[in-house]
Amino acid sequence: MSETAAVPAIEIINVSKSYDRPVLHNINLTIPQGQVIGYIGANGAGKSTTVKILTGLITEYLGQVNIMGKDFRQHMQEQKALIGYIPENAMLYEMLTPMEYLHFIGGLYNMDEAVVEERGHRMLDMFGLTEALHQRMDGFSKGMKQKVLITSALLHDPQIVLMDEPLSGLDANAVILLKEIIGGLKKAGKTILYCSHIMDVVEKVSDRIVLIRDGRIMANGTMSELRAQAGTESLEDIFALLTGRDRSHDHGGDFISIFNREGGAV
Amino acid sequence: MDRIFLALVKLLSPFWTLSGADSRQLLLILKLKTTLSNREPISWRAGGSKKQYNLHPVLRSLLHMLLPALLGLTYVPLLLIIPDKEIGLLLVTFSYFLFAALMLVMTFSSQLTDTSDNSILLPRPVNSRTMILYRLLFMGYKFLTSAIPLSFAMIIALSIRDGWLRGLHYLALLLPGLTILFAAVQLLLILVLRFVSGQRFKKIVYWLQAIFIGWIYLSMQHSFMDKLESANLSVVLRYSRLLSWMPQYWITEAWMHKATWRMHLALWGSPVISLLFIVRVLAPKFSERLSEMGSGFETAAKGRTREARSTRAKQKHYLLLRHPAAQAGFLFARRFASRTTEYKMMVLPAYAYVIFTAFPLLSDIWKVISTGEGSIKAAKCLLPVYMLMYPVTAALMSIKASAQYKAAWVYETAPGSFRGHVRLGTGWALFTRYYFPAFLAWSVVLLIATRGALWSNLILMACNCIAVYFVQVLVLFKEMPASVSAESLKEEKSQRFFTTILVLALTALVGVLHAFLLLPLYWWVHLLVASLSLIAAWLLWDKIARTQ
Repeated sequence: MSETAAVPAIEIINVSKSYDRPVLHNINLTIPQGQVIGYIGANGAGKSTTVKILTGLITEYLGQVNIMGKDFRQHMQEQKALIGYIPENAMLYEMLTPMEYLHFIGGLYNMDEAVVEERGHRMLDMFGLTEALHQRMDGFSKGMKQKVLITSALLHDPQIVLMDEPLSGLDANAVILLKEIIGGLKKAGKTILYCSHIMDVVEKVSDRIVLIRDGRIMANGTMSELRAQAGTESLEDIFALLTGRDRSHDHGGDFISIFNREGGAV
Repeated sequence: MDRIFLALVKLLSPFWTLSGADSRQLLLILKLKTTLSNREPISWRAGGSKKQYNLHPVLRSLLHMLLPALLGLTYVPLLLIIPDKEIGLLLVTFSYFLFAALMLVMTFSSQLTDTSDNSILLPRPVNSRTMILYRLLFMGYKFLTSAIPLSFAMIIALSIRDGWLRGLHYLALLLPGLTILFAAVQLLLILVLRFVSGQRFKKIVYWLQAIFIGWIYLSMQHSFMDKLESANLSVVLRYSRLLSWMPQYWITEAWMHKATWRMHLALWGSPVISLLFIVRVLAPKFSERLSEMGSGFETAAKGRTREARSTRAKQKHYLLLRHPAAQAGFLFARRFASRTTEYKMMVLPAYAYVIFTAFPLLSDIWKVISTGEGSIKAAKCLLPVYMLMYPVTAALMSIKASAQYKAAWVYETAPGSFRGHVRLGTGWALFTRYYFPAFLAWSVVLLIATRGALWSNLILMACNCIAVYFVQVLVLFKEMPASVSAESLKEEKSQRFFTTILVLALTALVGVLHAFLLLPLYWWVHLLVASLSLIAAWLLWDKIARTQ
């Protein structure tokens, strides 16, 4: 293994973040280069906050983050060029066409226009957006916007890809395609942090799974290690166990009983 | 216009690089921002269907300049009436800068901390200095394209009186003056942002706006203007040394060819120094705050506020509303208006504009009350009551949009015929929040000051305003509250402008009819017309409740 490859892609050291309440408590996580990490947790567990710290969207936090061995705070501009980020909600300049948007993003990375044109065309073709290349995105569906967002995140060939619920709004074919893309990126030695609630996808694409609860890492290991640790087979059961959810209880029945009481809606 | 702006930015690339920004990225982002601004649709309502027309950029620029250019006409009489050229110009420049500052604080302050594209730009390798500089330059450009047309009438008047070169000279001096004003306001906001958390900044800007309204009032009350009108400049300077520190004074002196080298240096040098200070020193902290503001976490209400809210929620007064949907609309509007800072920031400027416009008319109100002739006294006293319709119109126009979410689906998916009731409840909530308290306060003051002489006129006026307001609800407020995205509301700026003008014209028409036809009549005529207005209001109330 070369010296460069020995340097972890991401190192999170004692990172804490608070707003009105603590969101992350002393998170420690090392992600070696070329690995796909499934980062899972319930709503409000701190997943998105971690990703926002890693993308530079949040800069005020305690602790240290190293990207490719360098302090992220000190070398932020340089390190951001190594990262591709797919956020959960498709925020785009909707008055632009996909190609105009990609040219703008490419420009921020100082990419050659011809390269942007070629890569952009090919990637959007793969997502089935050939017809829409020069249409304004304000008429696009959520899924179409998400496809443009994924393309723009991968356009500059980043070393590290941070995905926050990347499947949001995608159709079945695009989900399959994205899973294949993740496989391709992994083969190409890219590091991926994959945040999602969709357990079966996380299970399939991840080398290692990190489970976060109330801002603390509760589990960190391969799927087989987690199975052995929890004594159960599926990731859903492991998740329920580690997040303290009682799966034996009939929550569905409880829910329906709300409507059956006198004065209910049904 | 955009091309000239971009060419100028490109020309000054070495300066941006010197200030630590990436001039290539800067130009790229500004190009994008101007493109986006040009692509915002301008829409009119035609026959109930929304038609959108994308205007040619030149036509769009002209349309954008029209209103400030018309407003600028108000400065011309001042300039021409005052015989002393120097005093006249100083007076007009003061007034002009006051309005420009008002525009800057009220309209542009929220743009500084716009976090809508944080998730696009912040994860990219764009440095903090580029981030702050692109905002300043784009806002500055937009500000100047509003503020410069405001001076057109003055420049034309100066050109006619003193020759076109003198007119152009004044324009050339205004540019650095406005840049100083712009830089000073931004510097203040960015300094505030440095010392408070990003989450609290919006609230502080809201309070700054409120303070600014008070400051406008006080500065007009104690301004140099009345002193300027009656004295020569040396007397004024003796009165206040502060004047010699103001760009308005430097501009006037430079135009009169009396400026010292220090004034020239200050006029041309301070914008550059302020810009460099903001970009080189304050930028990194600004970026931190900006990222924090866009993080999606809002400060929760403090314990006492939460308690007060829960108590208020228990005491549900719906002020004559009976239908549950109307009560729901009423409660929603009350809560939305009291808890949404962005919304307050949209409504509050309307009060400032009312004060700014009403003050010259009301500056001698106490003298008129004590000694004035009956009908003039009454007309002057009652004028603000009609003018206060503007804030409530602004509140009504803004409540349909929400920055946080689009609630259209709530109304689309719920069963039953309730839309009219929701609109009615919402409209009523805004009227009782933004009109009634101001009306009651002013009425009490007037009744005491005039020893009850205007009671019947006040009742008539209140009834007229209720009727006019319900016309507004019926005509302007067809969307459900919070059902439109904030971006869409921005796109409808022009449409809002024309409809607002029409509705305000209706208010003005009612006011004029009242002042000229009804004001001198007997109290029982006032009450008779008031009851007719109330019947109209009741019919409109019913009509709104039934609309779908």
